[in-house]
Amino acid sequence: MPYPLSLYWGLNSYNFFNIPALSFGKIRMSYGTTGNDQIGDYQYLDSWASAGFPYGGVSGLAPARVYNPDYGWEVNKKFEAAIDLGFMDDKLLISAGYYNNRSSNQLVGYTLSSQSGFTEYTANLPAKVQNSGVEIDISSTNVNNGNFQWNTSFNMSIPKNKLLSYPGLESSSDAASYEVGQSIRMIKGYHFTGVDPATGNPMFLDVNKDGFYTEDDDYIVIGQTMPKFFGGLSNTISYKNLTLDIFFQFVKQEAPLLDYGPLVGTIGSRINKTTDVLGYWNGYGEQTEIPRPTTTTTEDAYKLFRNQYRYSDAAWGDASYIRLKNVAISYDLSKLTQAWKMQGTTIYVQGENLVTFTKYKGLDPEINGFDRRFVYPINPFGSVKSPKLPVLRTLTIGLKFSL
Amino acid sequence: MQHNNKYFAFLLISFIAIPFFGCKKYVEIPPPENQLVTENAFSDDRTADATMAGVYSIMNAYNYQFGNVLSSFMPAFGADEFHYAFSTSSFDEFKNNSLTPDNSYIRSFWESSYSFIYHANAVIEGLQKSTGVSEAMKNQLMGEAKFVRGFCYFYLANRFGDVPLILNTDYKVNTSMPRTEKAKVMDAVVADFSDAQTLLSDNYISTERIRPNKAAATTMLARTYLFLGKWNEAATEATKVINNPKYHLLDNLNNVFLKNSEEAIWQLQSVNKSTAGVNTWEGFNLVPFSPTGRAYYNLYNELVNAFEPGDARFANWTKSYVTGGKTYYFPYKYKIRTATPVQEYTMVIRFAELYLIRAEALTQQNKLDEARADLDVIRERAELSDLAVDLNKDQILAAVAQERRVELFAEWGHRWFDLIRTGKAVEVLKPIKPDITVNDLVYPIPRSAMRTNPALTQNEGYN
Repeated sequence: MPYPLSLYWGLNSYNFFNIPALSFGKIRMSYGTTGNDQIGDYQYLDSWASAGFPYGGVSGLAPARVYNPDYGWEVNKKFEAAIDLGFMDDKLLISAGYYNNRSSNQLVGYTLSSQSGFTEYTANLPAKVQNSGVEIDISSTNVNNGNFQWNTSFNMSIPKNKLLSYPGLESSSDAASYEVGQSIRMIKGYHFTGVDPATGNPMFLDVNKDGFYTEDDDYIVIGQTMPKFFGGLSNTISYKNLTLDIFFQFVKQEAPLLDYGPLVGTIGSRINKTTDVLGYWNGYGEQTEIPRPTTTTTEDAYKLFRNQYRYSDAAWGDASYIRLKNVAISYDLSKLTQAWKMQGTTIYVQGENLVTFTKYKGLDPEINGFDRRFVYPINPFGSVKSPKLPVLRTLTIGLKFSL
Repeated sequence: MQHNNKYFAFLLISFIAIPFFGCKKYVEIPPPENQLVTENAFSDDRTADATMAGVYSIMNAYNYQFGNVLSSFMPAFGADEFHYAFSTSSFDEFKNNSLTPDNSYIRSFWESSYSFIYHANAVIEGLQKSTGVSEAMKNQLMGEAKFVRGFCYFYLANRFGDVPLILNTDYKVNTSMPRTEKAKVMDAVVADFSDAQTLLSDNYISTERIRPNKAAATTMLARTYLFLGKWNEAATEATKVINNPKYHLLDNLNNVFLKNSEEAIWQLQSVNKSTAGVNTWEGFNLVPFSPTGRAYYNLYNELVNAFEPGDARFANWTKSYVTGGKTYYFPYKYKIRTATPVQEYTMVIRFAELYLIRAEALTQQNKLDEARADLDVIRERAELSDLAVDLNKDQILAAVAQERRVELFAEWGHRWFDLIRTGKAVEVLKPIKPDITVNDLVYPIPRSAMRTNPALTQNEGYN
């Protein structure tokens, strides 16, 4: 049941601060508790569904869902506070907000170990998760004198995530995935410490120094799947009939590299790798960061690659980028075409995704590579993306009429 | 202001809504119309029967499933039976006995086994609560469910060692259950097959031999006792099936793997409709496209050489092709890659095994003459001469191993499990698999299972 509460205070009506440059001001705040009805009906009942092909003339049935009588509302507590300010007759508008959403009892596809017969069921997760962050919007009219106009707008989000509590986490199927106090978007893995010059095998941090690399003992937090911040910068400049729009996008984030995940073949197998692998270990004593190539399943290099390397920070890294997302130049021909009774005629050239500045060693940083769906731990909170085409660079030339 | 109005409306609605949510009596909700809930699934014989038919359908629906390639090819790669003619890492890991916990076939085997176990447990619980299912049907389905559960645990325990022993559908408890000692799992296997033996009837529920009956349960019980070294029990159970007039060894070896052959105790019907003309997935993989073409799977020379001269099984159950001046052999028990109508079904349990079980059990009890007689039954069908009458116990045990090797090759991992249970695996396989160690005889627990259940431990030699 929702219990929303909302307050706002318009500063201008009181002229409280009495700052001449301040043309507008508002503080707003809201708090509310909501549930979620985006769930299917009868999800608590165990049911049977067709097993596919008939067997011996009988249309077979198979368990489709487990019985879950403890099925309840999820609870989202949302808090938001923001300040909106306008300066110099609203030529400069600044809006800054803070939000803090706490979700508990979330209905998710809760992970089960396959030995239970299913790999997940819809259930209330006992965890309490906090999503908080700051959002900033700035827009300004830099120049506005008849023929020449220049507007700039800028926005930025700084999201944060934290697992506040999770009773029984240690013995749950999420034990390997989450830590209280950490982000639920953290990624654990081995810490790659280099290549042994004598053997060419990769080496990792053996946290408990027992001489073996095991997930339970030697995993550390190697990264986050949630961006640190992201935003955009847009400029619109027009002179008479000519308009230029330029939009930049920026994201500070980490992501799996090409070598990350359970489907990645060893160095030396017939799959695509970055050209970095050409610096592979090639003989006794060589100092390199790239392990020895192998396709022989019995070799240590093979096992270390499959069991450790592709789950280590050697295969995880920075995927920040700045992208020139959109550039458009348009010319308004309306005056020329008025004679033909056409109200608006515009000719334009538009380019998308023209330039990207990034050090990411993967495919496209905007979708974080095709292996994103294998990011471990697979996150029940919906961050897992399915493989899809990288964003395309497009160039459009057009002529627009309106009658 | 727009924003504000919206919240005010919410505020208003919430105050109006509260009194309604506060009512004392819950609304009774009828069961869903477009979903079959458990209570209804066990309301009559027809739908109850469908719950078991579903298990077999899923087991064999597609390529690389529990009911076909997963169970018969992977252990054959790991032993000295046959191997993939090309190289692919997930197959190579079996061939080279260098499995990693990520291996997709290992994971698939684990997950499908436990999914059938849940399915069987759900049938058992559904039947226990049911009032609408007839007594006869209840016994049949309960027997089948226990059989399937025992069958899955038999293979799980022999592949992975200690495994979680899950005997109900309480998934919230089961998801974090630790591994149970292999010996206890095998006790549960014996209990399930014994119950199934009591509950199932001699007749098959259908006209075909595609659903387990009493003889199937008895055969699995005999095999389980053999694996446990309970020789007397193994021989006793084997005898029950050997004396059953429903089953015969066929003189013509080429007819053994046909559907509903008199040698079949349990077969899986071909249900697939996705790939045209598939009879068995084994045949689909093993038999080349063209009669003279190359095969994808080649027998190890060790197996080729293991056949005695004149063994009719070599002539009828293997086939050769020549490429690059070299002759290669492949398993040819199933002869059909694709053909309609369907003539072959996947053989899961067949009659010949019972003579071999009894021969070994009798030898272990020093009943050498009787044991030799059983082996000679198998040898005569293969057009081989009888064993020499003066063989000692060790020699007869060696003859049993030899006969099992050439009789049961390429079927359900018999060779792999035989090498392990007789303690000979490393010694026998070392010449062709130089890296093999005792750790490789137990498969790794899949990484996905380890990650989702902190109570699981990994087998020695894997990480």
